[in-house]
Amino acid sequence: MPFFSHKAISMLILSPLILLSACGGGGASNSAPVTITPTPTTTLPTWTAGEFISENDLDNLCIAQSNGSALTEKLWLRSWSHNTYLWYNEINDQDPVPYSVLEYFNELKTTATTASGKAKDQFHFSMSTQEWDLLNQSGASVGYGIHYHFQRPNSEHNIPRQIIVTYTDPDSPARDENLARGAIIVAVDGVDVAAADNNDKINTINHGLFPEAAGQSTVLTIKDLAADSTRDITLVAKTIVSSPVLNVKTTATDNGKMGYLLFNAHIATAEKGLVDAITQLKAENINELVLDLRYNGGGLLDLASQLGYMIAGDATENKIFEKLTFNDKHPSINPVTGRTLRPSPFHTETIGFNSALLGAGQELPTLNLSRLFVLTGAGTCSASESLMNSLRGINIEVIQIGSTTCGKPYGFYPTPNCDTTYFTVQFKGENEVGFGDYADGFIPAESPALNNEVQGCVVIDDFSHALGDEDEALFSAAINYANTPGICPVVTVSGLNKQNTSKNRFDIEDKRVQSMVMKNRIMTRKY
Amino acid sequence: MKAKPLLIFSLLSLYGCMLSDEEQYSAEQPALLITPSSKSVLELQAVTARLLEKEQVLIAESAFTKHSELTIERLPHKSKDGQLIMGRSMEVPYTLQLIIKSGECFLKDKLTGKKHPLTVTQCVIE
Repeated sequence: MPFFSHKAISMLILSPLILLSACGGGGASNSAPVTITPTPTTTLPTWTAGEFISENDLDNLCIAQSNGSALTEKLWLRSWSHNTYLWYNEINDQDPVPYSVLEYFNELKTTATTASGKAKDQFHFSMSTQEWDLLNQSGASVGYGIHYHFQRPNSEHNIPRQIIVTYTDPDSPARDENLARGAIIVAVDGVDVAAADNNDKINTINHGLFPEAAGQSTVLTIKDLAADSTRDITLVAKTIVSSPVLNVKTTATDNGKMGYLLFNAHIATAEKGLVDAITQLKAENINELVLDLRYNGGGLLDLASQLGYMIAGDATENKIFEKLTFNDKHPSINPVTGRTLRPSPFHTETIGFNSALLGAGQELPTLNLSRLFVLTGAGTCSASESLMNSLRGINIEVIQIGSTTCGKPYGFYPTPNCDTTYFTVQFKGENEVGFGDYADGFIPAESPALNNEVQGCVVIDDFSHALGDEDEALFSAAINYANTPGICPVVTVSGLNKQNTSKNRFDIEDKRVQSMVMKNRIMTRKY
Repeated sequence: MKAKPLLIFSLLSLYGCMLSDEEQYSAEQPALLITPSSKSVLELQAVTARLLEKEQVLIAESAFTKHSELTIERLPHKSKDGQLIMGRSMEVPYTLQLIIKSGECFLKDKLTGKKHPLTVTQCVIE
């Protein structure tokens, strides 16, 4: 079935008036000419298996604006996915009619699994564009400055639900109350965390842990690390500005000085923090570096590129940090930006995200290391994995200590249509040698056999020591490995740390933004 | 005899300083926030939202108290399993600058050059 531009079709297609002269049956006639006005015709796009209208002809034809319909929104999703989805040829092309718009979007992805059996595409999202457009000062959020580890309950292994403090932000209400890593939150506003067994109790816990506005007060009953008893603290939420680079220090090993730095988020303010950290470590003449990325879920890729140079220096010269590859329809042109695809180099200069803090165009410091220890966990994701992959691609020896990373070599360009912003996997990042297949994460292994297995040690996150403490299990393992290469600690998985990824009926999660939008509590102030 | 040239020099210098001050006063200069308050934060948030044409922006009370520039990023949205949705971002963050001109404070979007006066927020030259 041939398709026409729907935008053209959506306007009424009117043929020019056709004037027909009525002809008499062979004799002259005095009848006036008859004017025939054709009925306006519209041809609505329909679904035909295997045929796709350009998404450009379907965008912003919306139910809400009455210039489109649920069908046009779904057909836009279908065409956009067919054009840009990384695995477009694994989508089952289904008639959109039985589905709602969001249901249909959820159908427009691969159902394939990875080698480990997990879904190949776990990164298919949508949210209202209003929600997506919310902004914040780099690192700012409303809260108490507490970062949590949620241990889901597992009756089979007799593991209770637990909330453990992983770290706290400087200058925060949590620090004011001496709350520190390893503390267990026993109760929130009087609700026992382990025993909460209905939605009301879970909602109370969620509301208390994730305050929606500055000024909200919450009472936490906590059991500090090594404490015999609990204590109650009252926290008042405020806007916290997190510090993405923390705990920069050095420690002695048998081979010299080992530097340590905790890098928690690829946010703009990290540029200055990283430059300062590397400058400090360089001045201290370190010859090994431990980069703690266990809670770093990624962010700005440019920062990962800069940090790669600051670690590896000369080894990055004329090398690829990352090359984006799209589906086979777009081998040379980025289908979203329209630009020619070119590999990204390692950045050797400052970008100057905030020129008052650090100007653009300044040469970055570098440690010129040939080996890097990376501390990882399930929270190590995206740009953090990209950093690991890029360094491995240029033969920097990466030693991974901790647990498997999240496995996200993919990315997307958030794309709005009809007040919803959609995220569908559009590209994969590859390193200098063309490797980017780590959807199952980077896995520390004493004897790596697969490409996504990295030399190193499996070590479970140790909440009983501060981050950067030489006795903390991951850092300690890195120090020991540097002293005695190839030797890993024996791992004992305690009940506390046993991973349980199965979703529970009553899970604790941060739902603040969604609830703000749903409650229409977005502040709008017009001048 | 030596006093006269010295006097002329001093007067010229003073005149020069006065001109310089005036020019300085009327030129845009980076500024710092003084006496931050909940009202000034609300104003900064609202003006930022207006400049960037967004609904809502979160800014801390300490903003612009140490530096004249502020980096604004998208809220770090997370998936249900707690992972950052945009873990590979190529977006360029916005940069705002607090400026003072002729005694009046403005917020300026450094990319577009658009600026908006601040009526509650008080500032001084950085």
